[in-house]
Amino acid sequence: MAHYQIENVSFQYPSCSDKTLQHISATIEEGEFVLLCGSSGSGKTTLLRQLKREIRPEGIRNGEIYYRGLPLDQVDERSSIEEIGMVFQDPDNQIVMNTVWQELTFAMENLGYSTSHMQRRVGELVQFFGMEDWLYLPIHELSGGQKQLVNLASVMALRPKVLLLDEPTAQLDPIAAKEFIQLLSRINEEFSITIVISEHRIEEIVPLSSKLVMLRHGQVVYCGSPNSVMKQIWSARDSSFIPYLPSISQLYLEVDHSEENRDIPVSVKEGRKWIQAHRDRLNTHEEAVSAPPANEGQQLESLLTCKELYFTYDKKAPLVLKRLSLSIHKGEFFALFGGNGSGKSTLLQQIAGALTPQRGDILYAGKSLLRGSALDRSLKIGYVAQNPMLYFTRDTVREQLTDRLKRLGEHSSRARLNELVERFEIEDIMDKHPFDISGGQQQKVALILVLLAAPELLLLDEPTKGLDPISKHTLAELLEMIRAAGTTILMVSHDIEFAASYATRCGLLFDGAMVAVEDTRSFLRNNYFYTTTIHRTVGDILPAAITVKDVWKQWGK
Amino acid sequence: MGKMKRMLYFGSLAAAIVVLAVVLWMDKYYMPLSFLMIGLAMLPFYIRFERKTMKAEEILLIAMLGAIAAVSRVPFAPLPSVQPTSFVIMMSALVFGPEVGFLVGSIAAVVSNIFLGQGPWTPWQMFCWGMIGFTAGLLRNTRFMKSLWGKNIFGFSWGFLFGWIMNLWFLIGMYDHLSWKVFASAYVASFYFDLAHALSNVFFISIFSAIWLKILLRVKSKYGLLDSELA
Amino acid sequence: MIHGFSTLHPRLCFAYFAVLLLACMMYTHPVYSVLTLIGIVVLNLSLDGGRALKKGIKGYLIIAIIIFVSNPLFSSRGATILGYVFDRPITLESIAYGALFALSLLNILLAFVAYNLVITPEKLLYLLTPIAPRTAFIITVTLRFVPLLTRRLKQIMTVQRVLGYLHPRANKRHLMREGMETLHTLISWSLEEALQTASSMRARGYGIGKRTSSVSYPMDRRDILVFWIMVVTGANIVIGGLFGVNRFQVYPRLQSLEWSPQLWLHLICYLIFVFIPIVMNGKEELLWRTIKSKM
Repeated sequence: MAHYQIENVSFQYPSCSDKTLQHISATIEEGEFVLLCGSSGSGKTTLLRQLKREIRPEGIRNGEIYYRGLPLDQVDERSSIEEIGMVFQDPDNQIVMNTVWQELTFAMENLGYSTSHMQRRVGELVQFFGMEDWLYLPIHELSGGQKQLVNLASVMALRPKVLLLDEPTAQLDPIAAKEFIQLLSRINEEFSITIVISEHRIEEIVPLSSKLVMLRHGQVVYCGSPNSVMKQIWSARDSSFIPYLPSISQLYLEVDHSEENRDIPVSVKEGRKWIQAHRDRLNTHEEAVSAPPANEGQQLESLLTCKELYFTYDKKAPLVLKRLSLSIHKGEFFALFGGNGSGKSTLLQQIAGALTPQRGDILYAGKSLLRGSALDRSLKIGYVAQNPMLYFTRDTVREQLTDRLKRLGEHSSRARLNELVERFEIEDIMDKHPFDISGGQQQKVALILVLLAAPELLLLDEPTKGLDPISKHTLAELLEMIRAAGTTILMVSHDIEFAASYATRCGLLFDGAMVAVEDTRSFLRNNYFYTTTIHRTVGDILPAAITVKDVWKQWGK
Repeated sequence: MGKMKRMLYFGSLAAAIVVLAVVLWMDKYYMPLSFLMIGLAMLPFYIRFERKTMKAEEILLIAMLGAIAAVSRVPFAPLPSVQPTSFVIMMSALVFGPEVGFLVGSIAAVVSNIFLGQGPWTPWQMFCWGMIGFTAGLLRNTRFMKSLWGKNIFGFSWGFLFGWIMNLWFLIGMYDHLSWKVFASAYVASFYFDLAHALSNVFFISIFSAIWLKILLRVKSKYGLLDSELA
Repeated sequence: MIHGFSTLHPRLCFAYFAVLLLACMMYTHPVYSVLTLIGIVVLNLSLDGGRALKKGIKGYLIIAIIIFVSNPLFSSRGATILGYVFDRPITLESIAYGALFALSLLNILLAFVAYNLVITPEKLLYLLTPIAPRTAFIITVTLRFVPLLTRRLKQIMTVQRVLGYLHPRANKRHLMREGMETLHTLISWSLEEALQTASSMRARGYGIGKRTSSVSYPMDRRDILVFWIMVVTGANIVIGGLFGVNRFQVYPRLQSLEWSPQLWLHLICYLIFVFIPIVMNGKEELLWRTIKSKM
């Protein structure tokens, strides 16, 4: 008996004119690991929510979903809650209680378990998830990754048979995301719990999954084993899904059209095995990729210079920045990497003027920013925070933008606003509430709010977090456009693949100081961990290759 | 519990409270008496809250509004005399009604005291903020409260009333002779604080009440509370 | 924090403070008040070395002094006139009354300092859960939101500062406006996000039946012993209180201290009661000293 039998399901929200889901049919077997993909707004979340009765949204539903042979509506209330677990995207929003312990037992308390029963289950859970050290901590002292583990553990406390996960790692840094996914794979392997997960960051998940479901405009476009789905996407040259594929698979599909009957490599290990076998076809002699950056050698004009910055949040707290020096050149796109809590965001906020260093100076075009006027600084330097929600105070996008325009007064103009709105293609959402538009659109609005002041330096704090590959591409194009207009960009990020494709220079912040600053190519080439999967796969054969394109160029045709 | 048993239980509880109150009154133990009375005044609200069936959304709405009221001082840290909590409670009550208003106010008081330290003032604060919410909620459909003037008068009066009630807790027990002079001088002493409270209420109401009501009304429909009892 | 009194069963801790506070409010006998003050100060010292006490004591002393000074100015009751201020008689009785009540207020305030150290929010909620489960639950949720909202507020203010809206030299009106803008963003954003929290609550079965509690504090042997000591001494305090052994008359004429055997018995019971936590903490402290000296 299938775990889930989805039969011709359509769904329409009361406030929408179009159907969010259209004629979806699929079967999910017990113990399967199903990966749900699609751009934001394609109906992933809505579909996931249809699979659990308690969180089905209000609206018109057609078709039927069977859970273990029974229509979902007829499943007993208790077993529906216990057997079907759900983890949502934002780690903070789904936590209800004040401490880890309380949160772990929340679900069990709701279902009326006895005290001794709960204590025993928590005892087991804490071991499996390795959370002994923070069991009694209040939630706000945990990192994002830890919070998401608590959410997963709280659901696992009920011993579910199926786990539904809605982009659970979108808000996590790469290390925490990997840990989370490994745990999912263990849960799937060791307990044969069925997993249905929607994700944008699929490189790590494809190797685990047994089924891929691709959604577009609320319809299933592809469905099947990862191998067959990837082949179908490639043969259809479906550009809306190709960016989702792991880069090694993209490389494989790009170069290898031979009908050899093998699976598409999805991990570095498989990729290496495959490429070693075809080593002879790679042109390793003349690495044309290493064309030197255009302005290497000549004196670059420095726009912003951080001079020996020291910073700590509290007198007794450890130093976040220790003698940090960094110089940003005019016109470049600089990507700043660093682990969690390494001080990247702190540095960005100091440059933006939200924090003041205890020692050191920040020079902008040769003049000290710390002694200059705050207004002047806020016009020259734009800062886009991670979360666009922070910018919204008005009822519509239009009002929000007009409010900003009014506040800027002489420093901007309606013409500039109109131009930006047109270039960013947001005309059709101007009269919507800022909370009713998608994450990518919200980010665009936040960007426009900042760009209205025509800053010369744009600071971005993890702009690609939680974006689907298509929105990332759109963002990259917008950033290119902004840069072409003369704005310098400094980005803090975890997204190495994004930086590899678009940044001109990269730096690594560690232990409060810059430990490496190089142009993107040499930076990624010299790194071992902080580099692209392509480089890790082919690095020893083609030391200069960091993107699929680089390898493709060297492929003997 | 059987009906008889429950009636007996509550009846004897009520009788015990009355006896206790009489004893305290006769012996002039006004301070414990005042705490007893404050507790009794809030009891019905909490009994109702405990017994009503409520959606998860309603519980979260009250918790979130209470938390917002409790932290609303943070952005005004450079201005020590500005006090937006009462404004937040009032706005919540105007949109969601007297019961939610009371709960938001009294929970905000408990929670902010958990962070700042509980004291004998906690029940009084719960009562005062609760009552701001309750009265605002009761009056919300009157023409008086619909007008900006009415809201301003309401906020201004509560600014003073709040301070006056809060003075009560130690005045009642501490002076041997409760004369008007004692009250008057306590109120003169706290006049500046009460005025600042009243004026910041007026400032917030006259400039921001329209936006707040709009935001909260949107929330009300999003939470699906338009046709529930809360509406 | 020492694992003495604080590890006692929460109900007993709470009962201790309830009786102590009631005694502070009701007993005006000077010997009682002074002993209570000593007891509370020592309790505070034994709990955290007096750190919390140090923080609050200045303000509390000021309040106490104001009451002490102002009572004779407002009240001219009493028979022993000491002198005149602004043509008003100042009596010995009204000064004594002011002193006694200032002391009793100080006792209440300081007892709350110790209360906050012992009755942590978790214990408070544990106590509340059986009586008012939903109230306890909503307080827990609110407690969880407060640090979250504070962090969000800080993020929003960072953005406002960077956009050039918040500058340190702005006038008051401007700061108030911007402060409200911060709250607008916070309230619409957080209430929007709380809808997800509601889903997550329902997904995990909130509201389908009666909730149980995962926390249990069974009474151990020490708890039972302390319980009986509290019952015996407490009963004595109540009985004595009802018979008025510890009454102290201020008006119309200040009473002199009379030491009757009943008062002694009653006082000793009261002392034992007040010093329960101090003895417990002291015992713990001694235990650790001997352990350390043996190592």
